[in-house]
Amino acid sequence: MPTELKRLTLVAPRNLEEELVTILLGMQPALPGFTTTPVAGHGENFDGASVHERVRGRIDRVLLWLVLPADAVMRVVTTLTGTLPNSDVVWWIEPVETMGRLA
Amino acid sequence: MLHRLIAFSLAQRLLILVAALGLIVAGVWAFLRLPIDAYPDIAPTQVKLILKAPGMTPEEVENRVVVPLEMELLGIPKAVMLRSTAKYAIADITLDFAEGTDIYWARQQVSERYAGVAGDLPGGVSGGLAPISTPLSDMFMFTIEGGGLSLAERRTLLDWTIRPALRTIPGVADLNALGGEVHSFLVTPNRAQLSAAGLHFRDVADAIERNNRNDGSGRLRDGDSALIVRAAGAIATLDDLRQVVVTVRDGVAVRVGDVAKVSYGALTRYGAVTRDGEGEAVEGLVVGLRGADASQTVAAVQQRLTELQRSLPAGVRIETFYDRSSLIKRAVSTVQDALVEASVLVVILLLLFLGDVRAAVVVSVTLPLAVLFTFLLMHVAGMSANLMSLGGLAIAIGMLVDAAVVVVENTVSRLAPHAGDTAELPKLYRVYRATREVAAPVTAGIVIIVLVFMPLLSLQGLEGKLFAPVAITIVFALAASLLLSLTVIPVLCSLMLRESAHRDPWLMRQIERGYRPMLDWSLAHGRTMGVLAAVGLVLGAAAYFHTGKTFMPTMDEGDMLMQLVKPASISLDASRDLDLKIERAVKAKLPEVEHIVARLGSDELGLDPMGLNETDMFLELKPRAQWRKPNTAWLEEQLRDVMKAFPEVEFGFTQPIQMRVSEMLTGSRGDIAVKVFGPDLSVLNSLANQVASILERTTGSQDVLAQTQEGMRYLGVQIDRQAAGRYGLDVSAVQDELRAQLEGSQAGTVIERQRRIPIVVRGAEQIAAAPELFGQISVARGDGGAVPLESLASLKPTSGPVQVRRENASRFALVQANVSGRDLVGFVDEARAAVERDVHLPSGYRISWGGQFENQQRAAGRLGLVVPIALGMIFLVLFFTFGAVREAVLILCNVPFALVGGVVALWLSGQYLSVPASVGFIALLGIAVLNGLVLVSFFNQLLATGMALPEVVREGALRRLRPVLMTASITALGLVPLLFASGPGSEVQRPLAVVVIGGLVTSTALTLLLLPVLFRRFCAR
Repeated sequence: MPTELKRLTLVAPRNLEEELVTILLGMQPALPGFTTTPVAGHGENFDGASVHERVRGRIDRVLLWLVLPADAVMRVVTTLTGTLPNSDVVWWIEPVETMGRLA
Repeated sequence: MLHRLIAFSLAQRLLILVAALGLIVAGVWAFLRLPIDAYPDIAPTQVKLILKAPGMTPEEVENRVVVPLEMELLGIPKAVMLRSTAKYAIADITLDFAEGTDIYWARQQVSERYAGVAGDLPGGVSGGLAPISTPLSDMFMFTIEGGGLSLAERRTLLDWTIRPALRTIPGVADLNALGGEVHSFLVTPNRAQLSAAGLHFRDVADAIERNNRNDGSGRLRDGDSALIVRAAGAIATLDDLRQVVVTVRDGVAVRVGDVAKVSYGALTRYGAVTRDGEGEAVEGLVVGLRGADASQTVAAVQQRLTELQRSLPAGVRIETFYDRSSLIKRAVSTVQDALVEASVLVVILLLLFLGDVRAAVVVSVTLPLAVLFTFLLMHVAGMSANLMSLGGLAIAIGMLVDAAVVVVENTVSRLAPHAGDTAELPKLYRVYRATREVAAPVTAGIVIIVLVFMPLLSLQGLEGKLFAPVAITIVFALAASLLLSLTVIPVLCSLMLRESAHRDPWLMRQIERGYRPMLDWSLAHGRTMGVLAAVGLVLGAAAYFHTGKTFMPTMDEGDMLMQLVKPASISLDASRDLDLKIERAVKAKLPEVEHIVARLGSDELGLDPMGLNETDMFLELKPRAQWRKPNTAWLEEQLRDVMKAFPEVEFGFTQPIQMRVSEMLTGSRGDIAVKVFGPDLSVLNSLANQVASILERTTGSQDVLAQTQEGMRYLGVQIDRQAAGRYGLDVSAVQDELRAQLEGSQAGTVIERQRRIPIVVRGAEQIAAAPELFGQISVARGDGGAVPLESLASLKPTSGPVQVRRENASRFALVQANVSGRDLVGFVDEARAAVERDVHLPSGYRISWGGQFENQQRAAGRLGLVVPIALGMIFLVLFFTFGAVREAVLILCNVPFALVGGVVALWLSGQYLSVPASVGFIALLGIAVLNGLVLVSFFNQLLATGMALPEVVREGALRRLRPVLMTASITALGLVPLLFASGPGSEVQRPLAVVVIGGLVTSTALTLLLLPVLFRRFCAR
């Protein structure tokens, strides 16, 4: 039976990108590849935002997608919660129907 | 943008390495081409007019030469100051132009105005614009010795063999000839015979001038060829001169030989040079062009002199007694030694802190690269390597590695694999990330240090010219180090550092062990820390008020000059004999003095027109190792003792360049120059004497000198117009006759072997030496026969001015003094209060205080204005970096604490608060801010990970302990060699080093202990 796959999505402040990537890359056993992309956050609290963010009315965020076996997903979330106890990092998990490579 | 630069460098490693190699080559090339001098070019745009008015009294010179010229010269655009001095037979007019005015343009203006008024000046006034020179122009001085030559022969050798040879050297403006006797044809009319023939001196001179010419007349045709007709009539020998017919009386020709004695003689002398108490000498002084490379010029002069040696008469030697290149060598080697020592210290420190040879090597690569880069930039900017610019580099040496230290330190930590970590993240990425993490704070820090040095560029006057090169070099060096840290250093890190487990070296472990409890204590006792900090501030304020303020420490040039002022009416011979006597006394008492060369009176070019009573005595000293006590102050004391035997001579000490600098900038010599302005010379004189006596009473005064305007003995010849008229004479005829009698008048030149030898018509020597005979000389009557002078005029001894000094067309008297053993500003405040209390100025009179003191006030005023602006700019940079006012303010809080350490160190070391000390404070400001920046930006990074605030400050401070300590201790240790250096220039760098080292102690303590407390208290978001 094929392994059940989940997609973990993390939305974090842009300045945490390097930190997050390092932690994820350093996890044991090693994770498969993942994707990051800069995105903008909307409708958030602007208390800690920089002037630029206030001007543009959106907050600089980084989005991480990890497609992992179901049992690994929670391990990642737990590790991150331990090392980066930041309320500004939002995560959710979605099911992945199927996954493969073209060749 | 920064991360793109880092990424590009790491992606193009080969390119970066090749570029670094190219930089090395270009840097070495630039260094070899940098002009080397002892000091930066400190000359303002200044134009000097020197006019000779033979025989004229100072007041005549003032009224007939200076005033008309001043009227014309005042109002030249961009001229800021017009100073003039009227002395016996010399008018010296100096115009200072606004900073940045082109010297050639300025000379053109003065030249045009001078041409406009030249026609109105009395006949016989000669001279014009002095050569373009600076205080650094006197590059090379020598005397001509040996060979048994007479003074006239030596002078001829100098004038006609050596001078033309040296003048062709690029960089030499002129060769100033001093002392000796200018060979001339002397016609001494016999007064009785002359009067009997009804002739005046003028007639003899005119006849000679009319009868002394070779000329061409044109061509004659002689068949097919042409003959060029040459009419010879030039005087070539003494006999030719004797045969000149002056007039024909009753059909008999009266020849020069009939009424005058014709012989070889000398021009009237206005000065003399003596050497080693042995007798007179002839001195040559090489005047360098503005902007010339001193070391190259001096080397060329030396080479030319060696070449000339062969063509000199047997036994003749050229003895050098001043050679700028030796000062340059010592100045440059002082800085070089400091640079090398600092570099060694820095490398040792890096090893101790990093415990990793490879890391230490990577960081230390920054040093030579940044230094070479700086040379390249200096070359491009057209700067010269000198005491100040190289000093700037020596000061910056510790700061140069700061950026690289932060980058490498972070990379070392980042490259250490975590326990059990097998994730294969590329090494390049890790280096990139480590560099990128610190790139922003490092850049902001360096930009801030650069910003704080900007105020120095706004300094004006002497301090601006001296310290701008310091600031520019530091800015160049730091900019270079920043660029290298973000390009070459990451590349080298990626190539050289290993991805191995990194263990803190022993030193760091010990320091951390000590620091941890201290940090915990201060975090637990926030209030107590606040109180301690406040106490520190109060202590700093107290130290500030107890520290004396002065302009600048005196730089030891290694040579000494004694300036002598003798009684105003002294004759040339007596003045010379007195000089010889003093030289013998000094030589006998002080074995430290190798040679003494003294020059009195005026030089030939008129660059330094002194009176007959003034002497500059140049002491060539043996190397310090041979002194009984290697201390300049001690030697001065010994000289003072020697001078006690000559109570009639006033004296002061200075150094060759120092003397020229003070003359050029204030027109006077000495730390303090008090000028009393007003119209009447005798009132000025008495006021000046009162001021001088007050200065003498003030503690700390030394060598107080009132340059008295009055006191010269005169013989007043009041011509009776009626009597003169009765004898068919007019006033000017009598005056001309008297001048020709004593001063002599020039009657053309004889060209002898390409040498132009003047013909002088002058009265007999006996009359010039005996005032009683002077009254009896006979003057030819207009209607035939002769009349004694006494019948034409009344002769009465009087007294009159020695000289008349003027500034912006107002007369003034000058009092100058040096200050020793106390600070300049305190001395001036005290003396000024006493003068205001005790000296009552009549209306129309005013007093101004100048000299070094003026520079200090100006520098303090300017810094007081610009430093706050720089602080504002720092605040802006911090605000841009953090995007928050609170953090920016917090980091700026570092500044006062850094200053506390600096002030206290200054106070404890007994140094004064001077301009170089202020430069130290400025540097300190930058370093303190950089440290705070490194720490606070890391706190922010930790906060972003969601760490709790108490943890953030504790962890952050511990993790940033190493870079903070490293940057501070490396900067401080880099300056340690300057504390102990003793060569020329070290006096300027020492207060700076004291301030920075002292300030770093307090500012680092504050950064590590108080800043975490403050961050926890104020920056919690």
